Amino acid sequence: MASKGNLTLKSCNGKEFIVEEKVAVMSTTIKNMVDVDDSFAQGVIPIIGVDGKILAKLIEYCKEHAEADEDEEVKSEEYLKKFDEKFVDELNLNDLYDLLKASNYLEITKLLNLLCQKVASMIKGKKPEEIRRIFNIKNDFTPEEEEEINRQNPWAF
Amino acid sequence: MMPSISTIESDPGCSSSASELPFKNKNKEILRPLNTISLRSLAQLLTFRSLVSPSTKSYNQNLLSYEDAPATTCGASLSSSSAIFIINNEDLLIQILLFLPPKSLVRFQCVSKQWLSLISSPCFRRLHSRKNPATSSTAAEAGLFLYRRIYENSELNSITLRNDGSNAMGMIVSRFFNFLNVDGEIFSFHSCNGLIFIDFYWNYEIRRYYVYNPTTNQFRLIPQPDIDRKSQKIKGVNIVFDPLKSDEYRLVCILDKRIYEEVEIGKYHFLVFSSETGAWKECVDIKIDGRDYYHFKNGVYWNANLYWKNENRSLLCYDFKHHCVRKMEMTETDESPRPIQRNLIIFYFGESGGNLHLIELLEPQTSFLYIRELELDSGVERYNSRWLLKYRVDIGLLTARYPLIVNERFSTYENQFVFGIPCFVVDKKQNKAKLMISLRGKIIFYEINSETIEEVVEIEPANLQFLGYYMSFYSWNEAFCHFETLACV
Repeated sequence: MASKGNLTLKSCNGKEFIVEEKVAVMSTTIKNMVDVDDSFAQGVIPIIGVDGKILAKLIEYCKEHAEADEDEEVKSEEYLKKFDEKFVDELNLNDLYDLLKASNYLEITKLLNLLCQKVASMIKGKKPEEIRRIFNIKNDFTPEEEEEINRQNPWAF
Repeated sequence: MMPSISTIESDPGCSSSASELPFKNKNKEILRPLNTISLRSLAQLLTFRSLVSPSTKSYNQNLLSYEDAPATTCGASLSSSSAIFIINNEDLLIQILLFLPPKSLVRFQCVSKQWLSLISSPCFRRLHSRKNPATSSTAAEAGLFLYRRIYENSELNSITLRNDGSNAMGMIVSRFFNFLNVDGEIFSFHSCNGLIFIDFYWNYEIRRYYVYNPTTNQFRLIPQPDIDRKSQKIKGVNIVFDPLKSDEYRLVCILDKRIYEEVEIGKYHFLVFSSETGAWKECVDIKIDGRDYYHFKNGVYWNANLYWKNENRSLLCYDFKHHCVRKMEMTETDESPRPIQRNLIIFYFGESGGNLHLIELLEPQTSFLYIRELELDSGVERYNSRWLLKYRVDIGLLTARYPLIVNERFSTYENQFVFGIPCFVVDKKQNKAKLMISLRGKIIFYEINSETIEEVVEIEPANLQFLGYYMSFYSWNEAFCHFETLACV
């Protein structure tokens, strides 16, 4: 069992963050590491592929939610909702995708859902060709095939 | 080229006569003259799949109505490596897609083959409709179908109830006939949470049942129930679909019994079709008071049961859990004494925001609409329930702005007002209760709490006279709420 102390997280570009364990274990990946191997609780946990800027953001989010989970009086659902809204609104596009990728790797489910929802709300009004451009997706339909799909669902296009 | 059913047109010439009611003007939809949109002409205009002519393109272009794209820099930036990673990770892609509305997903099917196979897979559709169940208690009504039969013809219209400026509903109607590709008539129509049941017939003999999802353009042919048409007559077929409970949908067919061509009064027989078994099952018989007339074509799904109303305030309930039918007697409430010497007219029966509603008016003399909500008695006498009064709306207030609501031929034997209530929409989150009122030439929304009016649709007056008095407005049993769903049929 890991002690109820602080953990040190290290980003891929060498920045170290000392965080409370309850904050760090919002990430299922970190929780599993700490649960399995006690030495992580004492030493430094490397967070592969996540730089300092993104890691700081992740910690900011987890801190807010870990505190809310502990004390519902201080941080109500309403408060968290507002925090979440502000949190995603302030992200620039690159950070949004980097954060989404990182929260998937670290298995921070709540944040992952929040970010997926944000991406969905950004793309929901787009045209298919805009989606292709945004995500660098190759259109592998022949013109005939594409027309056929459009024809079957005329009102959606 | 495009069948113009409900096109958005602004109406600057909105006469603003003096009225006590605040008035919200918005772009209105125009319903074309009713007789010009016969189903036959639509069927001729549109064909399906292999038979599509090059002209299809021209109406596709008319439909470029996108939801308002948020002003993000999304489109301008070059794809980041993380963005590409995310979109190529199928698990993450699915998680994102699950947050999108059905309409966007249908459109995104042509992004790539991977997106098409993901979005069109039954597994994804099931996941999506479970995660985003479209019912009146969880989502906003996307639109309203108006179906009725005029003389020997059927008429189908639609109104979009979205505020995003998109106009999808108008197209849906014509798309019905894409898949049928025949010259026929809709004999009966019913809908529940985004799925539609159509009883279709042509050549005076071929009869087909379809379940159709207009959002995905997917349909399924349903076998006819095996009944002896000489001794039994179908009174109605209703569809029941509850995405909050299951992926399964059911059809309930109500028959009456005849002996030597004569109806055995008050005896009804129920058959149920399940989408999972693909078969009709005999269920129950019920004997009810022969004088009761139930609106069997207009069952309302609520609280996991199907309800039909009669001309009074009683209900007949099909209980899916116990597979039985029971009549529900209503306890009289203090504020709703049984009308004596007055005519009780029921204007609406339906469900919204998780409650069952009944709207009535006492004729003659009063101008008040009584909007009631069903309260189930949870005590020992479980089936003794009552209609609680929720709102009282003075319809007389509308006469200043809409003089056509008054019946100029009013006498002691006729109603003093001419209008229908196609739907009543309750939005608990926003604390709104909107009464849709269909007048001669117009359909409006009246919001009860703020007392505001919103004009929704204009019906061209050209053939109102032709259609006559009772055809000049839409009533509750001609309206069917629509929700967008990816549910499989």
